[in-house]
Parts: sequence; structure tokens; C-alpha cells
Amino acid sequence: MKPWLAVAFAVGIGLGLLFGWVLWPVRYYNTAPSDLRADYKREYVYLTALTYEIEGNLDAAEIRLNQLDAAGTAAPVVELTEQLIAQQAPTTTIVPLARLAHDLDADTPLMVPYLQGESQ
Amino acid sequence: MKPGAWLAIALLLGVAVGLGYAWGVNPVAYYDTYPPLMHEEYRADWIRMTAFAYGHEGNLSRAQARLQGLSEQEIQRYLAQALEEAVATGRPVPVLRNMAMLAQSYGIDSPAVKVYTSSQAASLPVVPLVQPSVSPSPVLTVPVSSPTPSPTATPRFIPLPITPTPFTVPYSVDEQIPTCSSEPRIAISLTRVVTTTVRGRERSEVQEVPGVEVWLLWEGEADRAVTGLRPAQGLGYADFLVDPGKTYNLYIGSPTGVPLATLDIAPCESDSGTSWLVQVHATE
Repeated sequence: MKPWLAVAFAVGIGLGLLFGWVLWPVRYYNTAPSDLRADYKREYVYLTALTYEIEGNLDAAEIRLNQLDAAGTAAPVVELTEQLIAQQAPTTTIVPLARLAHDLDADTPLMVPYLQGESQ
Repeated sequence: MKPGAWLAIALLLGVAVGLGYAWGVNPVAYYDTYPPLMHEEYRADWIRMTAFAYGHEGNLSRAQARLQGLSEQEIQRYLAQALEEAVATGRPVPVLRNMAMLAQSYGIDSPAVKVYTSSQAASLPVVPLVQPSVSPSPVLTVPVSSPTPSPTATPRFIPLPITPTPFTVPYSVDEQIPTCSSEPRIAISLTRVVTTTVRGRERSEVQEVPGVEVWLLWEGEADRAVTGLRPAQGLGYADFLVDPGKTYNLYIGSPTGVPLATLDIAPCESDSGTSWLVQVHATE
């Protein structure tokens, strides 16, 4: 085989990769919440907690949280709640998350001050 | 074959191999996506949750940021659905008011939006998330269905006892319409007559009255509804599911004193119906 053919083939592969990865990459339109960027995932967890606050439907909240494919259903809620407590976020932001964690039997000692009135 | 042709073939073959690898074998991984790229089902839920969150927080800029990038049509469709659902399930009025304002800011003009963004909505009573302990069932949990009676039913009219004055509240019953329905219920349509003067002439107009508490008491139990929470049925509309064979006392405003009406839910004689649908038109 002549060397210039190999060079042409290699250049072709390079162009193919350039088009396939950079210029026309595969587009995924039907992603799941587990594919969301970290900040959107946190927002998703917070929205789940606020919706639970209004709907009071624990099953629906669990289904939503399971879409995140986390280690456990309550894990993202606990993580976000403790993060916000550490950041001294407003109480109104923390309370819905702490309540959801509590109802999922995953509340931690850090959340106790935000669970006034909840049966421990 | 000319050398140029071989060159082109090698190049195209290389491009094909490169594209095959980049698209099929090792495509770009989109693990850091954002809501508009989610499956429609998840996008719908995201919009719905945003609506509820706004109902709770009332932070418009945050709600708009959450909805950024989603199509206007999709936002309108799911915001309107979320509001209708929240109204039908009797969510607290402040939440409904906020949700309606968010829906309005996205150009939705449904009856529910009109009700809860109107100036009258400001005076709607706050319905607590937890219903009173005397209430055996949550407010307005009945499935949304037309209260129109079955056309084939030929009910036997039984005059229902109407408690005469004095009333503790300024309401009176205009009409009681007994009809057969497969879903026995007591429906109320609360109206008031507003008189305006136009060019020296008085004009009277009947307006439906939303936001008024209606109570039903029977055999030591109670249920409560608020007019206007099902705007598709009318701004002054509220209803209760009832059981045939029982007698119900209807109150407006407060479940104390003399009832506005006492209603017997008698069994229906028609084959197609099982009991009576009683509509009470009250005038303030």
C-alpha cells in the first residue's frame, strides 16, 4: 500500500472524529433527571421537597428522587439539606427539605432544629 | 483507477470510520444536561414542580430561571394543567393565587387564572392544608365531572324542606332542583345581584360569588367546600358527594345557627339514577 493512501485514511478518520465529536455530536434529547448537571440536580431535589410540602404525596416524592439514581432514595435530600445547613441558608429553604428527609426516615441530628413540631 | 480516486476513497473511508466511532462506539456523553434536554415526561414534571414551588415561594425570577430554555407552548400547557389540578384538589388559596400569577405571566388565560388573579381572589379565605378534624373527607376530592343530570332520568319531585328565616347570614335559597345522578351530590351555585347605573338607568346583573365557605353537616359529621375552587363549573360553584337516604344541613359562611337549607337525598325512582342531585341557587 502506498503511504499517501494511509495518510489519506488517517486524515479521513481525523475528520470523522472532528465531525462526530465536535461539529455534529450525538444529541440526546430524552435524558433523565440523573443526567442533569449537578446544580440542576440540587434544584430538582429542592423542587421535589417543595412539591411534597404542597402535595403531601410521599410516594410521588420517592419516585422523583429515585430518578436521580443516587445511592438511596433519601441520599440526595440528606446531602442537600446538610449542605444548606452548613452554608447557613435561610430556614425557609431548609425546612421543606428537612421535613422530606424526616418523612423518608432519613433525618439526621443536624436537621433537628428545623423539624420543630414534627414527631421525632 | 487514477491515484486521485484512490485518495478520495481512502479519505472517505477514514471519515466513515471516524464518524462510526464518534457517533456509535464512543459518542459524546451528555451527563451534564439541563431540563430542556430531558424526556417530555420529566420536562412536564419539572414545569409542574416549578409551578408548585412558585406557589410556595412566590419568587418569579427563580421560577423563570427554572423554566429557561423550555418551549413557551410546553410551559403554558403544563402550567395550566398544574393549576387546574391544584384547584381540583383544593390546594391552599395563597398557593393557587401564586400559581395563577405565574401562569398569567406566561400568557395563560384560563378560567382558573382569571379567578385567582382577580381582585376578588385577594379576599378568598385561606384553606388550610390540613382539613378540620370534623371533616370526614378532604375538601373537593370528588373527580371533576359534569353535574349535568342524566337526560333519561325522570325523577319524582319531592319538595325539600327549606328552613325559613331568620338567617344568621344574608343568604336565601332561590331554587332547589332535584335530579337523578349516578354520582349523588349537593351542588351549590352562589350568586349575588349587582345593580349598576348606566346613563341614569339601573341595570341589574347576576354575578357568581367565589371564595365563600359552604358547610354540610349530617349525623354528627361535617364537610366543607369553598365556592370557586372548580372554576370550570362556575365561580360560585361548590359541591359535595353525598349518600342517598341521609339528611344534610347546608350552611354558608359558618356551620352554626339555623341551616340555610335541609336537604333529603331520597333514592331516585329511575333505573338510570341512584339518587338526587340537588342544586341550590342562593342569593346573597
